[in-house]
Amino acid sequence: MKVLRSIIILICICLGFSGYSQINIDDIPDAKVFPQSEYNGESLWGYINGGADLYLEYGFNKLMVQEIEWKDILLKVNIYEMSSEEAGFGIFSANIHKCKKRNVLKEFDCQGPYQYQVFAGKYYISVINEIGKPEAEEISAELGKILLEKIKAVQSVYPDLYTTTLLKDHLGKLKFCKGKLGLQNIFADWSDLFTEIKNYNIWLLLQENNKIALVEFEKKEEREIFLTLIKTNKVEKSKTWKIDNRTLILFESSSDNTDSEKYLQLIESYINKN
Amino acid sequence: MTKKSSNKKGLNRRKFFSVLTAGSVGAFLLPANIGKLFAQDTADKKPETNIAEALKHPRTSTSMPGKYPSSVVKVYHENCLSDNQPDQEAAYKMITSGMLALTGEESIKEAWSNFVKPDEVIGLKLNPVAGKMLSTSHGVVKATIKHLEEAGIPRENIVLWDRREFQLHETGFTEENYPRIKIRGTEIKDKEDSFYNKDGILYGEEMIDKDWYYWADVEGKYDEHTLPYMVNEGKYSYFSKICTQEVDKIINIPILKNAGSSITLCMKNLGYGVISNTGRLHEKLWSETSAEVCAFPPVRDKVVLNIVDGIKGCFNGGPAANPQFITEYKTMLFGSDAVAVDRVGYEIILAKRIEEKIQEADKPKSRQFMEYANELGLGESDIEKIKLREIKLA
Repeated sequence: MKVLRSIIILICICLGFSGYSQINIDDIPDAKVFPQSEYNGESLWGYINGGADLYLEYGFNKLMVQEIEWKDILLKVNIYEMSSEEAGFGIFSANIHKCKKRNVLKEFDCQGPYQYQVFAGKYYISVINEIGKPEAEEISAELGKILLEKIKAVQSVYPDLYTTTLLKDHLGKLKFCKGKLGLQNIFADWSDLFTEIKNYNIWLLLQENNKIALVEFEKKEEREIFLTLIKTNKVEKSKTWKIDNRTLILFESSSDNTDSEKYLQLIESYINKN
Repeated sequence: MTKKSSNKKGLNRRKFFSVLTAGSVGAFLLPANIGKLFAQDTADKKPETNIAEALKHPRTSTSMPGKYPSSVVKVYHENCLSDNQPDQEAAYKMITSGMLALTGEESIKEAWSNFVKPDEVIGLKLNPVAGKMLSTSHGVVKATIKHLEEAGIPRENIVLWDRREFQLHETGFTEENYPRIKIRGTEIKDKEDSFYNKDGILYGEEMIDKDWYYWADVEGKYDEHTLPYMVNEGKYSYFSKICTQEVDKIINIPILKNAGSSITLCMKNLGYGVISNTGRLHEKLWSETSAEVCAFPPVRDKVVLNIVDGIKGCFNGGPAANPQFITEYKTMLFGSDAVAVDRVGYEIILAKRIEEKIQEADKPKSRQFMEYANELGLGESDIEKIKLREIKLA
């Protein structure tokens, strides 16, 4: 568990979460602010039905939903308080896709015409507008900024494998999942490899021509089952490295990837250091 | 329609398997390979269900897969969005083309007469669960209503329905927007936002029909916040009275959405949309519920037509709505065969997921519920056997 223990805290503006307090009229005097609704682990099912399962799989505490009408644009704010920073990062990573703009207000945010999304410690924030026009896009991010200030604590956590020189510029493509639904949403092709395995954490850097995954299993035996499946399924151009008793690194590359040697060297050097 | 016997539990899956082995299937016909599927499920230790009870009921002339088995019509319209919303006029044209192609009729009135009659109460089963952003669209619903009216169905005989009445209201399916049309849901809140009546009983309790149920050996247990959305706990899921008593025919209008690497389309909209106590079924019986609930007569014999609203849909993050995964498919699908329509919809979503690099190839397990539905005699799941007609409108 050396690798996962070496998870680093990249940004830490304020330690110890003070929790989130809802938007009120003092925050945005020229807006119409509607009351906030809260959903806990079980009532999330009532709110989003089957969609709740993904959040519950990651580890979910509560959801705060609020509507705000600002500059004639109706915005819907969803603040998911997850059970851990990893869960916050994971659900953010599962919910972003081909972002039009990244790093708008901070590292790990994503701006699209209809939505501003950001990962902030154990919080995943989504601000949705219904019109998708530039003014709505701008105001969604503006509201995101207010929300980030209210949350105060902003932390980012991920294994230091991904902070190595070659990879750190691609962190926007880093994903985290810990169950079959997350995997189906992030990279469904691997879901068969994990069918027999109950508990796992997968950090996955999903690039165009290669994938670098750090997988932590609950038991050593489950890692062996996984390795057998890799062989049986003849996952092409893949290589694995065992780290401690329950963890491994998996590198998978497309056949036309001329850079794969570089990545292999990087992983080996990382393993030697750890 | 015949109601179920008073045998509350009915035949469970294991007993049913024994019945099959003994060769005393009786009145219902099953495909030859159905035993294989059940044997596989037993090996996987799937919880038992009362599917055998459903299959005892003789099929009728309207039973799924309906009048046009294995047939699906796919209509694409380049300009079917107006101000980013599905356009009613374009949807109307898409429905006209789809219905004529599906039925082979020359007049649209004749086409509709294959499915509905003026004296029948027609339920349009919608899907508002993902909220305004990804609900069955008003463009498609209003266009369908216009068609029904032109086919002689009075507005008073049309019911828009789903599990949650308040979600229909939230997404704009209100009396104001749909005058003289009933808006109904199984799970109900009153004007004071309460799920309970003055006697402390859930309004939803009055909406379930205890004569019709889907039993599965999985216990539903919910906290006070969740119970109103589930109506009841335990091992029984009761069918909504809207489905069993209030409507004569059902037109199923789901949205083109994914559910993980699978889909939530015609069968899922019915399987999870017409019964109570569904929370317990997701984990172990997702595929089974989607298929088996459709095999019960209130669904099997009443759902005569499926119109998939795929003008806007999603390819990931479903069944919830995430703007980044919402796309303009600009497509509608038509068919009486819900399984075949689902299979065609599955291909559309799969292609988009591959294009968007969410997955690289098909995952056969994601098609399991369609294959099971095929084995239950509900429709065609083999893409090679589906007669697909494609129409492009400018």
